[in-house]
Amino acid sequence: MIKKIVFIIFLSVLLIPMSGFTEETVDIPVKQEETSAIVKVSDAWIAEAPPTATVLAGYMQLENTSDQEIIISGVQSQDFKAVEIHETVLKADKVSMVAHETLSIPAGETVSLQPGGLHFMLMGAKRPLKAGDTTEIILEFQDSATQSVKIEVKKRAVEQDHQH
Amino acid sequence: MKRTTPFVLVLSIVALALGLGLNYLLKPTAKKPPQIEGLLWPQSKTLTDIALIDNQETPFTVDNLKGKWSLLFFGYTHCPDVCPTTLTVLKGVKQRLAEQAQETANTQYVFISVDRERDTPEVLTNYVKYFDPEFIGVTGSQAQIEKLTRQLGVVYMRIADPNNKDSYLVDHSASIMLIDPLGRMIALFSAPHAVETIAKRYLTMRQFLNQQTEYR
Repeated sequence: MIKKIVFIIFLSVLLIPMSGFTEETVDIPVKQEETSAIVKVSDAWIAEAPPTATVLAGYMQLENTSDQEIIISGVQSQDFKAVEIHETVLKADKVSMVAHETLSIPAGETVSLQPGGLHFMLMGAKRPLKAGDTTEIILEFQDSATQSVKIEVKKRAVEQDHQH
Repeated sequence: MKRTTPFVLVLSIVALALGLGLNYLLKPTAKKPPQIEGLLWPQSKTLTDIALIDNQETPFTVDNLKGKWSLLFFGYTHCPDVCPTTLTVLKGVKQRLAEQAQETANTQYVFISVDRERDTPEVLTNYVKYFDPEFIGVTGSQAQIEKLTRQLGVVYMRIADPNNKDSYLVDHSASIMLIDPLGRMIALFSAPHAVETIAKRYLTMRQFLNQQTEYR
């Protein structure tokens, strides 16, 4: 019995940090009136960059749980001069960065921003950001609503899996 | 005279068949390139006339490639996604190959910047050392970088950033190139990159190439 209780407590403790990661949508009051979560954001992280790099990449999953298309028309952050929606495109061995004006999330779908694909390009870091630091970005939607997202800076994980 | 003609004819056919058969049997099997994806051997191109500088501001020439196996990757430090991703993969490859230290000795990892304007040796040092203290960063004048990229068949192109007139992007080759100890481009690893795929192919290539006469 005691063992069981200890196990449950142990499990709950384990789950505490996880609850913070799965739902990264944090609504903080911004100037605009609309502040509720429009897209469901998860796995949001900024890849820590070498000390001299002023350009960083932000990744996340953006889920549209509504029945209407959501369009992100801009991104901002107080910690960066500019944030752009970029996509790494690999074509005939040449890798290019394509800038997008907007990012569409179709109704009921999830758009993944991940290494080697879509990402937020965070330019002109105003302060050094190291693994463990957090920052905030504001997603601006086409209907002028906004949503704030808290993002943690993490080191890029070195792939350890030998079973590829 | 008439009787010997068919005899000579038969003898010639037998000799020809024997010759062809022997030729087939005695053909050195080692000359048949194995099926390792990305291996260019025996079509290996010897690199010449490289005059670049490394992040310590010392010359980086063909001599720096000789006697070592070099994994080369082209990029630039203002590239936030694919360059750090690839360098992280190369770090993973280095860690993975440490398990077979003997078979993979003399492997060096070289990041060549195609953005001379922004990537000074100092910027490059900070950049490559972040990923691994043993990684080498290399740069040089545009003419010198082009001399190397042309030999390797690497493309790169400066592109204006449509959203930011003060900035620019550089399209570049996503492949990792393997240069052998004779300074020849011997293999090409195509993107997207995975640690285990590169490590396995590289190990198989070295095992095969070590049996070839030119490496003895």
